[in-house]
Amino acid sequence: MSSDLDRSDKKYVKSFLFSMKLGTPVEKLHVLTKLALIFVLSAVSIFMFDLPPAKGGPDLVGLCLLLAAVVILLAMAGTTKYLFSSYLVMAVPVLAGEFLWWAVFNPSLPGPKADLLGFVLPISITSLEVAASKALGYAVMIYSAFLFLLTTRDSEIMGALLQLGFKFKQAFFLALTLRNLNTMMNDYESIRMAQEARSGVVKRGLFHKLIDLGYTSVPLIASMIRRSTEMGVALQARGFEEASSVTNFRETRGFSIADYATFLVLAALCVYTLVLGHSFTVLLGVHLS
Amino acid sequence: MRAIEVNDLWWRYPSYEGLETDYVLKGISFSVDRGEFFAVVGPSGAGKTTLCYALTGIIPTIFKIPQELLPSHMKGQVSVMGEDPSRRRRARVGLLLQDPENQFLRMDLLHEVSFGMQMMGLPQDEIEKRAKEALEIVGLGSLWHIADKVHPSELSGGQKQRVAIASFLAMTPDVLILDEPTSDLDPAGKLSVIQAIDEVHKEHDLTLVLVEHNPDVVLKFADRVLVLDEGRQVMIGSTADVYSRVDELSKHGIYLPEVSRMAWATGITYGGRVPFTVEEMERALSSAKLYPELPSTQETEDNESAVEVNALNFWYEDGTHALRGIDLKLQRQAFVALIGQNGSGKTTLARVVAGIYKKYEGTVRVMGHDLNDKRVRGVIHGLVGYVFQNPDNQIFTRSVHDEVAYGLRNMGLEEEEVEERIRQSLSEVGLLEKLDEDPMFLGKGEKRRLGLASVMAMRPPIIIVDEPTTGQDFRMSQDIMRLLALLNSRGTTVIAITHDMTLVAEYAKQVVAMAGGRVIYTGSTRDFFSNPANVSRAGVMAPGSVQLSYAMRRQEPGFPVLMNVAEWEAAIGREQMLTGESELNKA
Repeated sequence: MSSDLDRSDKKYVKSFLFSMKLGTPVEKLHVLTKLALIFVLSAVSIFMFDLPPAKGGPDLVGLCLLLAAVVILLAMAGTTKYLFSSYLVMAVPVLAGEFLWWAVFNPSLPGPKADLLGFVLPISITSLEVAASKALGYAVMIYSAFLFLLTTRDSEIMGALLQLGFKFKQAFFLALTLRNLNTMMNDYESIRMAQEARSGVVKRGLFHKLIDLGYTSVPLIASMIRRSTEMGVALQARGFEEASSVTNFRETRGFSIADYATFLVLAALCVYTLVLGHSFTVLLGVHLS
Repeated sequence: MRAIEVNDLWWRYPSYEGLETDYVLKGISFSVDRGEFFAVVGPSGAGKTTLCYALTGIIPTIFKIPQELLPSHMKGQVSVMGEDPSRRRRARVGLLLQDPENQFLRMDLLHEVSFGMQMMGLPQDEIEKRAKEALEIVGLGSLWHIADKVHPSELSGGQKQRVAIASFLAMTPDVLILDEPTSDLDPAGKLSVIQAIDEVHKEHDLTLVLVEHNPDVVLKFADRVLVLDEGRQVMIGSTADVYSRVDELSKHGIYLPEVSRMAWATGITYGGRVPFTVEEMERALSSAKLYPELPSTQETEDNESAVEVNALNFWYEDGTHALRGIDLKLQRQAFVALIGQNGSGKTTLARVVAGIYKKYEGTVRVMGHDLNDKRVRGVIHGLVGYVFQNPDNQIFTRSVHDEVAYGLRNMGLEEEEVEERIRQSLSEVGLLEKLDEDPMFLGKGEKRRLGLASVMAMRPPIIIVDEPTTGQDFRMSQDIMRLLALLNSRGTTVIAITHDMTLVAEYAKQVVAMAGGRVIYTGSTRDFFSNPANVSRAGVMAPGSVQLSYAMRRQEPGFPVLMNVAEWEAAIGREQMLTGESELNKA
């Protein structure tokens, strides 16, 4: 599908997963800042959905704010509209499942029963709050992981690991593994098309579709083995094995004002929630029950 | 000075099943001088890639064979620039494999080209200087300012190969080994990449070892050639000496220039050997009066269309406008070649027609059914069979039998019919005796034939084959094309996407040429090749037979376009019959 590339400017670059627009605020962030973002948001999400009743119960408002922040950052990452919307949509059934799981298996937490248009449900409002908070919390984690993969490249990971004191070869192998996510996705797409071309005319039920999914593992694994063998050859041919002193070349980069600002916001969030144990729901005086 | 010396080299791969495997290289001995352009040719399974691995020290190093067991796997000596390549201290040998995609290690051009230099521990400014120079040498200097932003997968096939070459050139190797580096490229891309390599070879006194099927490339660029078959060295010598031995090369399944094949068949010589180029053949025929006769063309009675496309537009998710307002009508039972340069839209069009790409603008009718109709989409795979380019990506089961059965069972056929169809299709592709084998362990050509058998068994009225002969040796290519011709003679509409114009001229009845997402020609193959402007607009290279016809036209304007060896053989044969022992051989 590709024709010769010879552009004077370039607006998009490939990331671990698909591509991102150059010059967006998220693209400019240091990879360690993005990692910190994932860890802090995940930790705060866990804190928020695990808040005990004494502290006001699950912090639904806080979780909604975190989710809004991550979705805004995802939108700002400049990935294509189709990808952005499809990833948002793809996560919905998972999160709905998560919500139902918690609601159904924790139905009798203390508190009044939920009332839906006059029909009293056998589930307490507290149970629904817990279920909603879990779904929102995991959404924050999923989307922040997407954010990282959609806006990060191998040289950034390598640079960050080198700055943290890792050896070049260790950093390279971790980056290589992540880099191959993209290749694997392309392989899977080709295999899926080849499978569909021989899908015949029989209406496929869910069970058969699952079996078909299993069949794709045969060519996928074979292609991964073939690729890894050739990569081994490529590494050998470029002197990887005998390399003793490796030069770091344009891999590391410094922190910008945007990085420091992000760290400041994350630190404030940590202090407010993890250290002081406050809840945004309580702060804003929102009462759901 | 000798750059490479190989003396009685034997090698067999370690077996992980406890069984001893056969030797893959059997007593290979040759040497390559410094600055020489040395070619290696041979059919699939000849041991060409294994030899490349031995020259770079990848074997035995990569297998970590214990020292005491090494003699049972490797015998003989290999020396590159005076040292054992498996114990080299400096990276002096570059190896470029067939698929550059699998060799890319980084996510941007700059780091890809720099990787080897980073391993060498060069200073940063030296890396930057050399990377820039290497990209300029391979003609990609214009990408330098965005080199840190361009992912290798965003490049065209030719550009990828150039990047892979640049990454080795930057390391200033003494020897560069290229294992079929251009097999996936269109003819123009292939020529430009080899040209770039040759320029570097001449300017930097680089020793080159090139594994290549294409005889025109070998004859044009290489000084000497080594012929391998089944691990044995069967010929070595200057390219002219080796390619003069047409009979022997044919026996080993080596590709020969078309003009050499036609000269061999008719006994024509040039300077005491068969001609290698169109120019040589033209000179050999200059004093002759030829009697070309075109085969009679059969009008197709069935005017119903197999495929009808109107105002078709297609965009990829990243916004690339791949098909731009295509109108096309292909008749039933046609043998169509879909041709054009890499990126012209051939595969995209074929995938829309096969119902694989579903989001498009316009109308596509297949065997009279509109693909916009959801009910048709449910049955499209019974109407169009699609054989993908990479056979490894379409093998889903662990036995040849089950592989063919996979599509048939999806069609809901009775087991009895499934078995009957499996046997018939495997017998037609010559794989019936491999019924119970694991397809993953079949050879490259066998996998390709299995892919075709799996689709053939479903008996769709239309079969689309994507690059059926890429990376195949001469015999395999001919086998596959004959099989497609057989299917076509039985009434199947065959659409073959290919870069091989020799096969197009020999087998296809109709050509659809594409450029820049548009169809620029549709009509008979002979009409396509009869007008050199068509060939040039499609960015393809006319096969030797056609080029020779163009050359003859310069002397005799009404000379018809003869498209293949058989037609030339007939024309020259008639001349010989009419003039007795002709004057051709005096040329």
